[in-house]
Amino acid sequence: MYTDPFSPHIQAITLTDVLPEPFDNDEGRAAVAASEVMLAGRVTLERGAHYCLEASSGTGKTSLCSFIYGQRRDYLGTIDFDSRAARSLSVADWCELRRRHIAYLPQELDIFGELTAADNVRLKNRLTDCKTDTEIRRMFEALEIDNLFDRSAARVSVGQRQRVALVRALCQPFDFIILDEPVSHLDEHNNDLCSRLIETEAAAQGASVIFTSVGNPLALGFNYKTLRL
Amino acid sequence: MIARLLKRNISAWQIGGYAIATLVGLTIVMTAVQFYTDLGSAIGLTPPADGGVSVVSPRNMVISKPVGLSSTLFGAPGFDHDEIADLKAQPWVKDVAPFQASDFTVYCSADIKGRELATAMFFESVPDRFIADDGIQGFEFDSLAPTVPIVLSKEYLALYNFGFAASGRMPVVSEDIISRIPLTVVLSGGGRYDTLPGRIVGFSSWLNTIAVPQSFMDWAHRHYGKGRQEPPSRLIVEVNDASDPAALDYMESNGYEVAGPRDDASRAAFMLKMVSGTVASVGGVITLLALFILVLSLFLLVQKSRRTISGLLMLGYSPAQVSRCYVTIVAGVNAAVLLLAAALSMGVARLWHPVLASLGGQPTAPLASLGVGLAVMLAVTAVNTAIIRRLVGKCF
Repeated sequence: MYTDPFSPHIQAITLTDVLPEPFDNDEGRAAVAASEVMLAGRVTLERGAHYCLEASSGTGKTSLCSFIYGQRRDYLGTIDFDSRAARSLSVADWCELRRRHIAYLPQELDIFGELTAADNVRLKNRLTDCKTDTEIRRMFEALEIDNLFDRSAARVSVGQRQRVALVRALCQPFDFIILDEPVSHLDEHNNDLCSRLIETEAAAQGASVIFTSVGNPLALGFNYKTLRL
Repeated sequence: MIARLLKRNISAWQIGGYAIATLVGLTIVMTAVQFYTDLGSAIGLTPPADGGVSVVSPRNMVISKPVGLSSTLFGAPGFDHDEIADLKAQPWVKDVAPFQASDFTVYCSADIKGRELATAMFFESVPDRFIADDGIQGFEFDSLAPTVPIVLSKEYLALYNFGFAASGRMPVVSEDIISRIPLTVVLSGGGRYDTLPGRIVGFSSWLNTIAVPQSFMDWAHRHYGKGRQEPPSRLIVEVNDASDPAALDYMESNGYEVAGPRDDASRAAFMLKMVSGTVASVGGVITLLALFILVLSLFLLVQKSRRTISGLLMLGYSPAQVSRCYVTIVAGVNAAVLLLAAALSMGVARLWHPVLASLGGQPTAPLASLGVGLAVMLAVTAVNTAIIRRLVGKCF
C-alpha cells in the first residue's frame, strides 16, 4: 500500500542555486546575475506566505514552474519539498504531489478540446474527489463562465479557457498553488473575479499562492513578496 | 473520460490487422497441437483419449537376434551380459528386461463346445509391470491356490480364428469367450508332474508370446526346472521417446530384429513430431510477427497521443491509470482472438476425424491445444502490457 510521503502538508519548497540547463553559459549566467531566485543560494517558499515571481519574457519563469511541478528535470541545483529532494521522488510520489499538495495552472493551460469545459474540470476532480458537481458549477458562476459549463472546450476563447483551467487547478487539496501568468488573457474585472476565488480557496486550505507575472500581476488581496527572476 | 481522450488516436485498421494476423498464427499453433495429440494418441505416442490401451505400444520394443543355420544346430541365439549392458547404456533406453523361457514341459488342453483341444506349448515371462502397463487385470499367481493366469498375443488368437477355425473344424471365439474357457495346464519336469487350472486373462497387441506372471515362472522353475540358465533370446527394450530414430539405427547396426509394428510406429511418430513441430513453428512465427505489428502500432499510437498522455500525467494521473485504457483494449482483442482461434482450430480438427477413426483412434479433448493457446495469449498480453506501460511511462 502506498503512503503519502508528504503527509499531511509540505511546509516549504526550497530552491538552492537553481538554474535551467539552457542558461548554463556565460550569457545565461549574466542574465540571471541580478535574480533573486536563480543561482541565488537558498530561496525558501513557505506554506502560508505568498509570492509573485516577476520577470520579463524568456527569463525562465515557466521553466521554474515546470521544475517545481516535476514536468521538467533539466536544471542545475536542487529543489526540496521539506527534506525530500525533488530528484529523489518516484513516479508515484509525483502523482501524489500533484493530487494532494501542489496545484498548477500552466501557461499553456492544457485544456482538452475533445471534452466539455465541465468535463475538463471533472477529469481532475475524479482523481481528487475534492468538489461536488454543484461546487464546480458555483466556481464557474463566480468566474462568470457558467454559460460554458457544457460547451465543448474547443469552442471557447483563450480567456475563457484560462478561467476553466483555473477552476480545474482549484479542484484539489493543495499546500501551494502555482499560477503561471494566470491573468495574461483577462481584463481587470475578470482578474478581480479570479483573485477572489483564489483567495477563498487558498485561505480555506491555508495554502500559499505563487504566481508569475510579466507586468500584469494577479490582483491578489493577500500580502505577497515579490521576487525578481 | 480518459478512454474518450485516448481512443481518438487508435486506428481500427492497425488493431484489426494485428487481430487477424494473431488469429491466423494462433489458430495454426493450436491446430498443430490438436493434430499432435489426436494422432499421437492413435499411434500410442501420447496417452489415448479413453485412458485405455493404445493401438500400438511403441514405448516398448521386442528385439531378438536373427535365426540362421547355426541356430538350428546350436539353439536360438541369446543376448549375453555385455550386449545387455551396452544396450542399457544407450541414452534413449529407459529399461531392458529379458524374456524368461520355461525350463519345463507344458501341455495345455481346453474344452470348446464339447471338443477337446490339446497341445504342447511353452510359457515365457516378462516383468509384470509390462503386462500391467497394458491395463490387463488378474495377472497374479498365488502358490497356495495355484491357477495359471495367461496373457496371449492377439496374433495367436487371430491365427486360430482366421486360420484354424475358419478351415471349418472348430468354432470361432472372441476374446471375451476365450477368457471364460477353463484351461487345464499340465506341468512336468524335474521328476514331477502336476495338473493346474489355467485361465486366459488378457491379450497383448505387442507381446508376441504366451506370457505368465514372473512369480509363477519362479515357482514353476523351483518345482519342475532342470536348473539350466540359458541366455535370453528376446529382450523388451523400453525407450524414453518412441519417435527417437536413434533406437532403430542402433538395432540395425547391431543386427537385432525388432518385432511387430514398432518400426512403422516409430517412423510415424517421428514424422508426426516433425510435421506438427514445423506447422506449430510457422504459426508461432506468424504470431510473433503479429506481435511486432502491434508494438509498432503502439509506438505510433503513444507518439500521436503524447500531448494527451502528458496532459493527463500533469493532472496527477499515474502512468498505470493512463495505460489501463490501452491494456484493456489489447487484452479484450487478445481474449476475442483466443476464443476465435479455439473455435477455428476445433473446426479444422473435424477434418481429420475420419482419418483418425480409420486408424482406430478417437479425438482427444482439446485441453492441450487450449492450454497452449491460453499460454501463448497470456504471454503476448503480458508483453503488450509491459510495452504499453513503458511507452506511457516515458511520457512522464
